[in-house]
Amino acid sequence: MTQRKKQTLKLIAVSSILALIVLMTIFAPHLAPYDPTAVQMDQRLLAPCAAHPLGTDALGRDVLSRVIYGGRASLLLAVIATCCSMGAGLFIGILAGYCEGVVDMIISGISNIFQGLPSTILMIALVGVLGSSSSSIVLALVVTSWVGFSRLVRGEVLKVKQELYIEGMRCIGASHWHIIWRHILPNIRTNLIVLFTTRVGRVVLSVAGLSYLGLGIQPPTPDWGEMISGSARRYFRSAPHLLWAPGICIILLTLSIHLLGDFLRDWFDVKQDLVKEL
Amino acid sequence: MSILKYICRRLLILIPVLLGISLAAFLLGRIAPGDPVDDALFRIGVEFPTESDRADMRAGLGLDKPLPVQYWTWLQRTLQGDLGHSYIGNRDIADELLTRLPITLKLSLSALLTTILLGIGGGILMAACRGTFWEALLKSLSSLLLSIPSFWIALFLITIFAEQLHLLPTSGLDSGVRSLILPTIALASANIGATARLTDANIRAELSQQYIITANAKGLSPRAVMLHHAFRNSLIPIITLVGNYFGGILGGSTIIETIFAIPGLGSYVLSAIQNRDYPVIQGYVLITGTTFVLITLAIDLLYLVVDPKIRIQGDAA
Amino acid sequence: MKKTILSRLLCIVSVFSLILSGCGNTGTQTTANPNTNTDQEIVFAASRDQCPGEQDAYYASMSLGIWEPLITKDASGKPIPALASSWEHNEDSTVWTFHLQNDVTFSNGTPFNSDIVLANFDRMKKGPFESSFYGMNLETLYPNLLSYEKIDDFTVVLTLDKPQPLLDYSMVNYGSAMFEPSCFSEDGSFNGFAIGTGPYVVTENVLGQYAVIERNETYWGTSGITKKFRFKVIPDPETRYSALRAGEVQGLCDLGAISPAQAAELSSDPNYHVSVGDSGITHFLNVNGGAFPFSDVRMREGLSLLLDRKTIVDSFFNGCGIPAGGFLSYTSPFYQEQPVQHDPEKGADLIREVVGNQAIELLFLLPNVDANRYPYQETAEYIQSLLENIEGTNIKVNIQLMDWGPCKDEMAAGKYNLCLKIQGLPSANPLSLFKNFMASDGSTNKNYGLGYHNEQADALINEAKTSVDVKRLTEIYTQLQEISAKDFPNIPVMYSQEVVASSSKITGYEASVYGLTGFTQVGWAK
Repeated sequence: MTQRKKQTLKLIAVSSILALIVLMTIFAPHLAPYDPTAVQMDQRLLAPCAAHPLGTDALGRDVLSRVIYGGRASLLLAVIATCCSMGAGLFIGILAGYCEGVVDMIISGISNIFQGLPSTILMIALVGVLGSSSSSIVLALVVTSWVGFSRLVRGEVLKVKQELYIEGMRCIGASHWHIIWRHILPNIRTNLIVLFTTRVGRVVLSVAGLSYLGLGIQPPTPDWGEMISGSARRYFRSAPHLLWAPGICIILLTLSIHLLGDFLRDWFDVKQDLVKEL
Repeated sequence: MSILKYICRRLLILIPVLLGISLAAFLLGRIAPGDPVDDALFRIGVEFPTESDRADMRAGLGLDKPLPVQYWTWLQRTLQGDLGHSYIGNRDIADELLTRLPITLKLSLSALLTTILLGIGGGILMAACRGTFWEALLKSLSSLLLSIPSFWIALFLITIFAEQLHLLPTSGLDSGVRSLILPTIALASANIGATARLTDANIRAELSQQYIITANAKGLSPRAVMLHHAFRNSLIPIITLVGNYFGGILGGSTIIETIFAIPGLGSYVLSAIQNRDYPVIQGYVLITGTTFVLITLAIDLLYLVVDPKIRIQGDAA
Repeated sequence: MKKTILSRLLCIVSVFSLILSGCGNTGTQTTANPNTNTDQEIVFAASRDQCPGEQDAYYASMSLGIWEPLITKDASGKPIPALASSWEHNEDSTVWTFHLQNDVTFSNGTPFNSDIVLANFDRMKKGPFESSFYGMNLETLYPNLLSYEKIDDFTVVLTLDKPQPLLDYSMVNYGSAMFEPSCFSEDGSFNGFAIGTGPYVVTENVLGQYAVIERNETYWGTSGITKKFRFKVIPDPETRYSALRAGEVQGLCDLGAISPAQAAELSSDPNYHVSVGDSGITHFLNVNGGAFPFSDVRMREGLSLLLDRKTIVDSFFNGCGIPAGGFLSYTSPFYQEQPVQHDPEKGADLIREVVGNQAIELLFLLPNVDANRYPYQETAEYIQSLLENIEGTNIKVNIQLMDWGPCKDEMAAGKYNLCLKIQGLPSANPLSLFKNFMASDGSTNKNYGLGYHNEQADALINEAKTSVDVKRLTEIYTQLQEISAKDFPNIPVMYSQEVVASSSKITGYEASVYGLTGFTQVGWAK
């Protein structure tokens, strides 16, 4: 029992960090002391001071305000893109694993093709073709990451299907939907949650990687990924305060998402055991 | 016999997959934006081409024919090992890719090996040290690795180990194995974190399964339970994912190779994308796609070794 | 059972390591363990190959000193002798006679003479050839060339169909590169290392990694100080900078060698030497003159007045650059200074007159190639803030980074409003630049969607095409520069200056426009 209490406390701690970040981005207009895009050429590259707690960037914009606004675009993109790819991956993976035979072969073939194309290249090419906008980034992310989900799901479905009790269920005439919904989904849930959280974090990083190539979220929209990988990289040594705050924010964001995933998993495990005992 | 049959079936499946990859490679080159004709003309000094210049160059590059025809001629030439010449520098692409492939393979495979060793090893350690300080430390470390952008890790590694400590070279390949250490770590870092976490998660899930509880009840030592039952059964999804990572590593090598000035496939294709050098992009996708499919095949065959249940299924099929 | 799993894992691991070791051994060890100072190799890093190799029209950058041209230029951009010791032309400049140096040999011992020059023209005829420096195209370098003939062993005559009063300007440096003909293969590409008359010889070249050059001990002119140079390719600017700081390389060279912010850091550090040199590059703000609002000259002038060029140069380029008032680079021999005006209030008034308070969205394109070399993103965001904050107007600017290919397509299609882009000086004769940008049917005018039309400029350019008088040409070029400063075919922002950096362990490395001295003055500091 104390173990569970400890877990719950940790869960509260991590989710409040995440909630804090999310709230900060939602209420950015009320929190930011300055307009994040207001250029002041006479206040360039100021070190942190009373008026600008995190200093100013190469154009004299307030870094604190930019950091407060900077999570909006990335977070939204990450959640939307990952939900879409998980939905697609879940559907396709279950279809392949459950149906087997020809369907499985075709789907495996297609996913092998997608898998065979290195995702970063496909992503760069697609964003390049479609122009760097939020919708094209989401599309590129979904196209390149549904395979990860579907392959994981398929592998698990295949494994679960071998279990004796599933064969037993089939023998007593349980419907496919029943088996998928009641027995297969709960079994793959833990891995899906781990993967989902991992992916949300990864998407934030992928978009930052796109920013490194100049294809991410476009200026002057403040974005953490852009702030650590774009032109600010050149001030890495002379004005490190430009990079630290957004960098820490990105790391905190992905870290807390990952930890949240961990705790959710633990939590589900306990529940699963309870269900089994009942 | 049945294992041979299974392998044959996998090899047969390979054909449509490879065709699909070639089609995707071909199309990826074609849907790229812009007109490569003007660029090709610019490079031979025709800065301001007329329409007839354009038409000549278009015909010269074979871009005037309908798409299916272009694909067919391209496929025929490709099967003969001729990937054409790059628009930029007019070099033989097959040659260029083949000289660069070993470099990228060396880098990606060492990143994959590092991922497997440190990732699975770390995961097992985490599961084994459950509840101790070490678990907490490893866990936060693996989560942290997952949370830092690879180009940032690269930047820090270069600054610390090359610029400050002078231990390792910043870039290039001219110091043998030492040159590979920093890029390998930068490339593998996120995957190590992910693999460690997944290994840990799977072992835990496995430990709560009914048969493990039975094994425990039978009085097997915890270590035997861990290694023999839990670890073994949790390997499958990990192997699947490590397979996935290889694709990610190949793709991730684009940025890492550029940062570390490694003349592999990744840095080559990145400049090709920026220059819209279609044939190079196509050749790249084809060669990395094929490499990847072969690695996936190898991993699928590993299933046979690791999970006897699949072997039974193979027998049945 | 425990053992079997472990042994299987071990098997997998050992298979991997076998594969790895199989792929190994491509890395070469740095050798060079020198006895004396001048024998020790000096290493430079650049973003691209300095020796792009057999398929490149010139094999190596001219600055390496592998090959030399017939004609080079002095500090003011005027043609001066190199392999040609002197030259003259007839009244209407259709027949040009070149007298060659008669004591020059190639690095392999072959003497340099008229036959060599003819063989090089024969090779040029097989072109055009691609190059990562300047393309080699006989038709654009020597338009209307009728014949090239040998008079004696050291005299060559070029005959042209139409007058070319500035032919020697076009021939400067890359326009008249000379190679030993035996290094050409049948199709005109190189069949191995290029052989030239220069102070250095290529001894090793691994594309994408490095090139090594060594001193030509039989050089006809003043030999280089250092025996051996290595030029590494490091594309990422941060890594390149780290390599310099780590002491792996002694200097950074070529375009965009070091960013202004990095140069500022180094300039106060006694361990490094930063050198600023002239450059033919001009940074232009190209505007879509075919579409509202930049179709209105008041809009173009307004934006030009709004720009605080001095702030741009000082803040973003670390002071390395010159605010530009006119179209032609200050390094051109025909440059005439045009006034640089900065009057934000008048500028804002002009723009208000044009756009009023209607909502306007402008697309600002930034080509990746240039944004990677220069602080374009900051500059663009600065210009964006200027336009968005004009009182009483409602302008919104979207900045979009793009690869140069697609960017050019958008411009040609007129689907943009602003684009920051560099323009070099392709030849010492600026006629082609004026023609391309300012003539109504000029190709850049069309390809960049500038939509520029000015009858006076058209008339002047047409006159220049057939003029045989250098004095009159100079007048025409001056007038065209004056037009450009008032009518804005595009908006000049600044004339670039090249910044290079080196470790204080070496001396003699200064930034320069491609010139004959190259690396010969570079050596280890005492």
